[in-house]
Amino acid sequence: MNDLTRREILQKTCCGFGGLALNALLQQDPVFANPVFADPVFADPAVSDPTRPLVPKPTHFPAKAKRVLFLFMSGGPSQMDLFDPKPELEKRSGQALPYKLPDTEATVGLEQTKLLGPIAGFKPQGQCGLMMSEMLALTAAHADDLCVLRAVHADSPNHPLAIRQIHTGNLFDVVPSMGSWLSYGLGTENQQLPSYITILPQEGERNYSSAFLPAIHQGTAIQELGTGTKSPIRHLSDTQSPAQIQRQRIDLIQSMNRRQLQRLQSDQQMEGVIESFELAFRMQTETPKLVDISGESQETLDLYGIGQPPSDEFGRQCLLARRFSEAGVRFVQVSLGGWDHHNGIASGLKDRCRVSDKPIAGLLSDLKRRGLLDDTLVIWGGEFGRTPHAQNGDGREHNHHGFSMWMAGGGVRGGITHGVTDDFGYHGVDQRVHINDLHATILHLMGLDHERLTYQHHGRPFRLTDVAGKVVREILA
Amino acid sequence: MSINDQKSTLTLLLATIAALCAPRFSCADDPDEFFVKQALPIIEKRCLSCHSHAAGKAKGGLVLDSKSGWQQGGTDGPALVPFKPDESLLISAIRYDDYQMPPEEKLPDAEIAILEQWVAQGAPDHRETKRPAIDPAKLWALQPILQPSIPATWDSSWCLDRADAFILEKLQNARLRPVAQAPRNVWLRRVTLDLTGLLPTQAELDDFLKDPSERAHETVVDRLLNSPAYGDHWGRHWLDLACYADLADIQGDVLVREAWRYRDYVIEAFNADKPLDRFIQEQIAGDLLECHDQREHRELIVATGFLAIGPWTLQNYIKGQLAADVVDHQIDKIGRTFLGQTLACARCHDHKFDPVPTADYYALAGIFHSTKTTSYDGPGVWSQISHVPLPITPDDQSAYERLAAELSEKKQQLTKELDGLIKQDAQTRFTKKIEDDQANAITSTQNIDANQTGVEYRVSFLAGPSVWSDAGQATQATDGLVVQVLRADASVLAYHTLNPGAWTAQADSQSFSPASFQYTGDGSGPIQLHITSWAFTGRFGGAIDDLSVAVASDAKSIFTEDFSNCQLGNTQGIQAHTGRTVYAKCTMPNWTGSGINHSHMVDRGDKDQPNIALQFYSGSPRSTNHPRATEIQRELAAIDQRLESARPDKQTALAVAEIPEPADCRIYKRGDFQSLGDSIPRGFVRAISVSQEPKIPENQSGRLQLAQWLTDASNPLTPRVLVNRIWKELFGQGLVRTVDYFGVHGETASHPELLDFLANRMRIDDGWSLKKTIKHLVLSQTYRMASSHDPQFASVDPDNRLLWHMPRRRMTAESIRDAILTLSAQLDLGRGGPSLGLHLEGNIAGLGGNVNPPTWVGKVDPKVRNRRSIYLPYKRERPSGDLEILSVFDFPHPNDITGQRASTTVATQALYLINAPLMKEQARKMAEHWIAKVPDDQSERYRQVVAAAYSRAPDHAAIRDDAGKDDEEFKSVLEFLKTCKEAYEVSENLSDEQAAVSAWAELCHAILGSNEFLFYE
Repeated sequence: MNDLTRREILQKTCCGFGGLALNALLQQDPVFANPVFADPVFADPAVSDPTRPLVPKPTHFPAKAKRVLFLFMSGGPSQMDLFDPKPELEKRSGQALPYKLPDTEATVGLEQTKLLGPIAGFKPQGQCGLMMSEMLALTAAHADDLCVLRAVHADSPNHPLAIRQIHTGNLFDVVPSMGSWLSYGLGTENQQLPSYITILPQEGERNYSSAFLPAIHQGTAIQELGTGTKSPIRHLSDTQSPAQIQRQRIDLIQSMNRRQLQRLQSDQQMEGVIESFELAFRMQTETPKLVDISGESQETLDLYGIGQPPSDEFGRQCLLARRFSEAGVRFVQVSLGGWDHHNGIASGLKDRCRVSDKPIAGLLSDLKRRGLLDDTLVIWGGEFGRTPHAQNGDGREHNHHGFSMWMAGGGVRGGITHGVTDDFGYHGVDQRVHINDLHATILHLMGLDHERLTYQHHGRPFRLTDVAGKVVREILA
Repeated sequence: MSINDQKSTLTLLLATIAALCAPRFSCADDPDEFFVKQALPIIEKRCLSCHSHAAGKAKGGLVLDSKSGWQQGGTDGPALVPFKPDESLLISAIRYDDYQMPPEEKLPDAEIAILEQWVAQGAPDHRETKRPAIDPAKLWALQPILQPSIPATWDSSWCLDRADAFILEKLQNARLRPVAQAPRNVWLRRVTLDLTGLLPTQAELDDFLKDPSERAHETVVDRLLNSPAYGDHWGRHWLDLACYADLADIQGDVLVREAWRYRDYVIEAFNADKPLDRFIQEQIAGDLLECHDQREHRELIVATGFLAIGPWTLQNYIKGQLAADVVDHQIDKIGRTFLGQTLACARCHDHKFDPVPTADYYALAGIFHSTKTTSYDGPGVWSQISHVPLPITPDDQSAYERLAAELSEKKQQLTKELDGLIKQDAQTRFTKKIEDDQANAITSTQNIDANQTGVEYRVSFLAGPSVWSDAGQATQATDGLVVQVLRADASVLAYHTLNPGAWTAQADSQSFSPASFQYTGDGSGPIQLHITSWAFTGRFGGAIDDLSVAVASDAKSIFTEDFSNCQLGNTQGIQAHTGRTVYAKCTMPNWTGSGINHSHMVDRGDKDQPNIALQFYSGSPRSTNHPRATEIQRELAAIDQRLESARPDKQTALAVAEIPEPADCRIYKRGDFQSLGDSIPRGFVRAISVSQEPKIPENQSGRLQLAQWLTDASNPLTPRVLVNRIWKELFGQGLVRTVDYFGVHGETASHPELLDFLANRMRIDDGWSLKKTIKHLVLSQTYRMASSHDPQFASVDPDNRLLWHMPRRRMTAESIRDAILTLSAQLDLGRGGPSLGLHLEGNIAGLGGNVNPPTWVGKVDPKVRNRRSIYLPYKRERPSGDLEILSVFDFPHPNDITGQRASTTVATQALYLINAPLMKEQARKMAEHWIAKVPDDQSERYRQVVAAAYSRAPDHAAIRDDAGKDDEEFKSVLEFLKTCKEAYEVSENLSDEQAAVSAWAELCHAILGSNEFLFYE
């Protein structure tokens, strides 16, 4: 492949498109040959070929983490019930509010609101004694790896806005998501796969969109877990035409396109189209293998709670995430909805913990035993947290003023908390971490300076952290 | 380095030397001197590399190069509190208390002590703001438009339009030549796609190729400009800038219903060639312009949809924030669309590069804060976009009356026919028991979230006995209602039966009494309520009213349905004995079910109207099994719907309006609506000078004056930005390639004189006519060039900035879709009107008692489904479902002001072309169409298909080569058809004829995925 350009091969080869794609697969990374993927090899970082935008690029400084695995808990998990124990709140549960509600926020269901104590007990966990809810008994086994940020804050108490902020840093404008920024800044380890994958996204496309960055950095949505008839990626397969006809049809298109290219002599965009058909064909053949978990051992399936209600589906998501991360996908996101407990938080939150505790604990164990946790940054959290006061009697309202997230692996200090909320868990009061700070820290751990990772658009350089963001140095290992 | 820069460096150097030489603290007595000699050198040495205009950095939003810099402070507020070092952020940062500044290394204690002392002295600081002044006189885009002379190359025989002279001159200066003219068929495909977004038809191709006249090109251009398809295509360019969508809010599907009126206004404005200055004025201030009749008045109100339609976050809890964001978007839209300026950058701070101070932003903000765009009435969190009632024109009124008369006649006929059918059928049906126990069920289709584990819920309602409307029957003790609580999988969570008691045909016994039951949630998800008459009798159910679900412990209501919002049909009868009116034909929003025709609304007879209860009974005296009856009922419902939607007094537009008391706006410090600064008089961008700046009267918002200012004859930006946009649509890239940004960091024009020439010609000679401007350009020699490659020219000018050839471009996303539908003969050229299909059953969700506003369910009206893309419904997110193809091919996000769409080449496009159901479906229809059209001759069929898809001329249709043999392409096509046909015969077991169709469908599919189809030269 070295001496001939791809175009020359396309022009000269007579074995047709399918043959070429196969050839390319054989010559390139044999990552799919084994159900446990070989450790992908970093290509020469000096390579910066504009026609291969996903080739790994040099970092600004040595990276602590090579990939991100974001566990997004959509809806706003309650921090006072999970990671931020508040004895004062427990003591005064049922009493009138000792603070004023902000008069700039329209309210619903808070007419006779009272303080609402935690719904379950807390216990110190691990050697570090990290306080965690009893509802997270399995994740607690990893307490010494967790770095809990207790005073994260965002700029909006509205789901769609806050969700967009945690994904893109921005509330309103159409801007790239953090996975797209990482793909743009670092390329990816495995050229056979998209650089950014989001598994069963709960929210709109804008949250995994590349916006003005080149479209190649768009998050690829896995819309099915590989058990049903729906293809895992949109339009990945043609279920109607006979298989050999599909191949023939693609070959015909490629030969028509090649003939046209010959006539035109030179056209980069046309060459790009021919390339894109080639990649599409590779994705069509290879992706289904990657989402097929039938080769995993029973022990592994059990570890993630697969095959057991209620953790089966989320367990599958987490296992897929591990497979993608292991295969070298730069940014993998797993989403779990249902954390928006305006009513009945006692039963609702317990339910979410039952669904997610085992898969997350399993994921951390699996990453660790495969040696992946050291350079994989795992992040857990929602778009905001919840209020210490009750809504509708037994639920909690959104709270973006101070809430908890945790990080593990890839260069963060385990077994610590960072940040303090007030006595009730309503506002962050010390060591607050804004979403922009969180993003700056993620980029930092990945070896990128958030102020230097920019893209020129509309006449000015844009960045993930806009004009803000401060790396949270205290949590760096 | 300029002299000024050298000077300031020198000053700095001297100051530093002075500081180093000065004995420590010797000047402590004079605080000013202490600052200059002691504190300032430390600040300059330690801080300014990250916190100054000179360094181009303001980390944390903080600059320390002037007094106002630290006074205003950064994201955490003022950096210093004079006299109070311990309360000063800067001091705490250098002490490494909280922030650690400078981050590399802590300052020596002595330096910290000096800064502490300076603050303790009150932090005297003589330095004034260091913002580098941007001189508008140095920015090309802000200079008056010149009247350039036509280059001497105008004499060349090559030039057809004056614009050509400018192009040729630059090419010659660079020692380049324009390539040869494109073949006529290539030009026709180009101009047809550029002007109408459609492919040329076979007949259009033939006509043009056969037209020997010198005016042949002009004939084509006139035909295209006069075709309604022109507005459909150019209107869409405008909608990209206007951030158009048919629905609202960031989740994309909240109903706004009336957006289409603005879309149709834009299309009609282009088709009527409304002068562009007038077009702008109408969209900014149409409601404030004089008008001559009601029709025009209507149009002027609708035009302001430009400002009213946008990406508003209507459910933002924080209403002050919402208002500020709406205004910000309006300023941004006007800035980019008309002025090519990023004015919105000045929301939080003076513009970093361009001469737009924050004060100018808030001068404009005052205009838009004095304009009503959204309103909040509560309760809940949702705001609404302002709807303005439209004046009724006499034509509308008489059209409505004509329609009403026509339909009422039709309705009478239908009702009479229905009565006849019912009479025939009634006798046998009344006594017949309905076997299916679901026959008269209704179910709340709206999922009710009342199923938290362990929570007790109470379902309450009023219940009463029921009677036939005319059969004189009584209920029995066993007759009754069943109310079921169903889980999502339709299993029963709880149920309750109710026997209201026998009714003995006495009018006074029919009263409603409260009834209720409780159930316990099991956490399995939302529930549905399901109500039927008691199955075992198959007879009367009963009446029900005021149905609600609440948490039992605190009566917190979760769902209510009192039936009072039900839409009533015609009165169908009088209830026996009680004499109450029965509305037998009723529809209930949110409710559906197989038994809907077996229930009716009855007037409960209470004093407060409307007061309606729902009655159930099994088998209706007003129904018949006759198939024609169902048909009639459907027709009657459609008539009612049509009449309702045509009512002229019900028509509104999404439009803006003046508020009662317009006022100036105060600066929002750092963009925060809660930190108010100085009040700024309403006005415009001062760096853009016009000869006569309009004055804004105190009692007006200033929109009218803004519209005048934008279109003022001496405004240098508006005409330049507009002609550049036009140029970009025709030549692939703008003369200024950053079409939305003409600021300091934008690109300069490749042909500045040409840009000014075009701006002047459009504004003065052509009276702001878009059609005339386009006509000049597409008849130019430049536009007639081929897209041929030339290695030498490409090495000199790889980006084709000088236009030595025409670029090869992919069709727009809409054109790709429209062309596919054209080739499959499915394209519907119907135009205009609402696109959401809200009259379709179940297409509106969320009308009942919910805190959220109604949403669009997503059914596309079959009437618009195959129309051109511009007429389809757009959510406020990237198109999906039937319109996914648009997103795949770079249709912009409707929240983004887009003057130039991205043009990407990614594998997802290839996957779409290869596998998407739409491609397969249309390829098959295309095959069927062309087989029917050319039944026998395969080669003639192929020739016609590629002529239609690729606009190839007949002699280039590539069937035979020069030697009269099948050429290479056609041979491979024949081979492909043969292989496909055989495969289908074998693997799918198809007949010869079916297999041939399938093989052609595969071929058509390949053609639709090929570059020759997707691109044009």
